[in-house]
Amino acid sequence: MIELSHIDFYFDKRPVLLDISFNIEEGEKAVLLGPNGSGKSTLLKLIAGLLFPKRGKYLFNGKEITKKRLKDKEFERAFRKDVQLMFQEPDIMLFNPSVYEEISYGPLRFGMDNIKERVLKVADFWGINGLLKRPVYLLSGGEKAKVALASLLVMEPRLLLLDEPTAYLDMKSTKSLCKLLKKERFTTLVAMHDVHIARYFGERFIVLSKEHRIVFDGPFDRFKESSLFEEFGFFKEESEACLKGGPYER
Amino acid sequence: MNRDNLMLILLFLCIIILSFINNIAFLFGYFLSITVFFLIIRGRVGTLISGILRVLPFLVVLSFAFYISSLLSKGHPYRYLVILNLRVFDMVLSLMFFREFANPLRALSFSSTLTYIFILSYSQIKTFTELYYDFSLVMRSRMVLDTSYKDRILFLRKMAGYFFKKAIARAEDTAMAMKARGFFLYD
Repeated sequence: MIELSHIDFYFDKRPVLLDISFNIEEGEKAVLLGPNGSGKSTLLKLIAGLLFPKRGKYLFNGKEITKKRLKDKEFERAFRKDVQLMFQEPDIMLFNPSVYEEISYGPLRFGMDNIKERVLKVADFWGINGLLKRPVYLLSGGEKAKVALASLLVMEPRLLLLDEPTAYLDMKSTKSLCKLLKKERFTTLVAMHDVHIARYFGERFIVLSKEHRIVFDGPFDRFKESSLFEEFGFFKEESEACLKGGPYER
Repeated sequence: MNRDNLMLILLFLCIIILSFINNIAFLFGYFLSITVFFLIIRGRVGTLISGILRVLPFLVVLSFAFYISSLLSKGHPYRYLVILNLRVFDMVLSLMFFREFANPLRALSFSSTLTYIFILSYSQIKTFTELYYDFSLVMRSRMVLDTSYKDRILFLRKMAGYFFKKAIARAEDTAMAMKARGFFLYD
């Protein structure tokens, strides 16, 4: 579904991503792990077609995503509908007068049908039915995160990109999100820095180093056994205990 | 057109009229009637006082600057100062009157773009007000007692720099988020 080959990205002259290459297949659940400032958010924005690499190629469904290609409005419309990104701060994604309008914004914009049923279904899942008439800017951080997630999930995207989605969520909501992502067939790439929670968001781990390069790409079990695991500040014993008795196990 | 749209038009009309009238009796009468409305009919003493207090520092600075410039040019500023102050109070009270009876979101409903701008601005203001509050707590917790005046100025300068950078970064991210959600696509 997505193919990145030898991507470099710079902010001014400061490198943010260096020689990034990986593929993600349709339906795959991957986790993007890395320390603060390693370039996780930038990589997600790049995959969402909001930033463009200085060098290298990014292909979505076999088509290269470039500034020029996204100027084709029909293509952009289809691409934006398929790829949904949740930003680290959900606050900035919300700009509609009420929660209902916020969630229904995407389906309306992209001409989807049965909008009301879709909104009610997703609001019911997140337990935000009671908030539908409330102005979004008056909600708490956690409620805003749920509204942002609902606004993305209602679009039934093919690729869902989540940037630290658990930052504002309580344990129960994090668990619901984990379950949902496992159950749904869409492809997901979740950026995180906490390996203990990341484990439940996907089987495949793509790990960025603070030097902005990919240092690991493979299943969690292999990552756990690699020397990188402790290098990243994770402790095996602690991790085992956390995984065995963790809240997401059942 | 709904009632809130009409109230918005009325507010604009009031502001335009108040900007062109220089009659002290009229401006004072306007001030008095809205004050009476808030005090007697709505019983909103707190709202009235807080509204006036918020605009007072701005008016003091403005009046003082005008007074100094008049003295330098050997003019007589008193009449103009009274008009200026009454006019600003009248405009603030008109805005409060509007807020009392109209929902600003519905008032802007004739243009979805304006509604989005209003919500984004309001949300920014709210976020930055909370941040400012946090900063003031940080200042209290991180600065030991008897911190020098110079240190306080330095802290405030850093805070202003942070707010400026944060505002720009946030605006860029907001634009990206809107783009990702299809806001800039044609209809």
